[in-house]
Amino acid sequence: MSTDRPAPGDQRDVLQVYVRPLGAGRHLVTAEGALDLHTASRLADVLQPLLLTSGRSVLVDLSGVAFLDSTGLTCLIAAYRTARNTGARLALIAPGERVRRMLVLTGTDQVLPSYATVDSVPD
Amino acid sequence: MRLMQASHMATLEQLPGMIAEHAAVAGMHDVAVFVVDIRETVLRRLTGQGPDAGGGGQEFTVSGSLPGQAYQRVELLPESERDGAGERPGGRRWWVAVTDGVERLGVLRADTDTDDEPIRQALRDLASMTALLLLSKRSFSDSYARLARTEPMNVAAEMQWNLTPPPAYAGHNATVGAVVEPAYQIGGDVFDYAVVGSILHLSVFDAMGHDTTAGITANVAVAACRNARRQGASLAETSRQVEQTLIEQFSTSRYITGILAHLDMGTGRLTWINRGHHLPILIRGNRWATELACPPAGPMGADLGLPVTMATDQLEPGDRLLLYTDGIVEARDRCGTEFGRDRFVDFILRHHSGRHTLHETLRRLMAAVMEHHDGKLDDDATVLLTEWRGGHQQELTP
Repeated sequence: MSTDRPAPGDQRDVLQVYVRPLGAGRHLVTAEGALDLHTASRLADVLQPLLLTSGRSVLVDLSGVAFLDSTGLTCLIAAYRTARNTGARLALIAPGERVRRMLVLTGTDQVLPSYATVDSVPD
Repeated sequence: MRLMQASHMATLEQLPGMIAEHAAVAGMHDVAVFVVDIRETVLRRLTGQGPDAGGGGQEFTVSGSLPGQAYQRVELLPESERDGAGERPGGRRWWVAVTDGVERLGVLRADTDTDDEPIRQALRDLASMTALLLLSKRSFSDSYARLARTEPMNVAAEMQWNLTPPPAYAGHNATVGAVVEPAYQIGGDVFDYAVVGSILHLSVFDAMGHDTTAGITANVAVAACRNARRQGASLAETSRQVEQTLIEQFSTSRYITGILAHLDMGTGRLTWINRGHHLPILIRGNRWATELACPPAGPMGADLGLPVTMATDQLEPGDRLLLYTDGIVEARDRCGTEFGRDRFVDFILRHHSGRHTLHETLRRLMAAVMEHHDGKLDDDATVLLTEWRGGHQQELTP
């Protein structure tokens, strides 16, 4: 399964991942590109260590992710499970329509909250 | 009867000769058996020769030939007098669909000296018997598998074709048809159905990924599902068993989405659960289609810990239920336009309203989806279509 396929010409094996500490135990991880079979491990490598600290908040900005396949979704679900086990907090920021549709379809949105902006995430 | 007894110890390769010999005694001459490929595009003659038992045999397309017409319409069709049975003056050449009543296996050709109702009935009887004989050999014949394939198959598809029940079922007020593409390169899509008393179990699964492991995930999921339900587990328990088994095997690195449903074929009551899958579509009469609703309990194997909700819907006689995977609606053409849910439902409405049988409608749907996607799908596409007639069994057209 997957969300919509990227239009021809999209570079689906490219994913940029940036991390920025926001202070007060918060980190913002920004992903840009396609989150799929070829790239999901890149995001997982960044997310998993951050989520090992109890009480830390990790916000994942998905506004730049246009394509999410089942491997990409697995990466987010695995991150959710790590957070659930360690007591860290994980939230998504501004997932696009296609990504949101897949989160809602599978029920992942019920365990992984999404917010419009970083500022709208409650403390 | 003698043909059936003679066939017990025969191989697939011996069937065409055996059938022709017995048919000749009953006035049906030069009988030839043609087998359809798994994608239902071509009819290939079963000669019994060579590694695929089709050596030196003719073939016809399903879409553009008289034998193909007989196959599509599940009918007995005569050739016109001009081309027919040239070597038998005054005779006729016939084409008749080979079916066990539900699944279409191919067509049969025969020449007769007469054209009356008894010989037509004899031809239909011969086609039914041929279907049963083919089915009795198919499960252990590599020649049959070769003859029914037009392309090489990957390992996941090899597993999936062995996993699924026949793509057609009818009985107890209900007809079921299924199609899966890409037939030769399936990843993790699979459908299942089974009958226990008046209950028809229906399920569609979509395992993450497109690799052999996706096929293994689907196999483990279906086996766990069957195992649980054969022990009397509820739908919710069954899906939890599937989840548990997948976690034991893959420790949450693999999951599968799915819809699991029970249709009471006596009352039309549908109970079902949603494990993070596309919602079923209900088509009522030829008027409207709607998505049924049930909160998703998360994919099986993902361990989201969500409650499993059971939904209940009352079907009306004539209702059609569509379970499907995303590959159907998300197949894209060269310009990036999706096949789409509306076009999908519209196709079923237009083709399955008296014009074509349920199974012919699905064959045409898949051909249209494949054509939309330039003949090559990136994602698996599966449809499981169930029609419930509720007390109108005589109107069943499989």
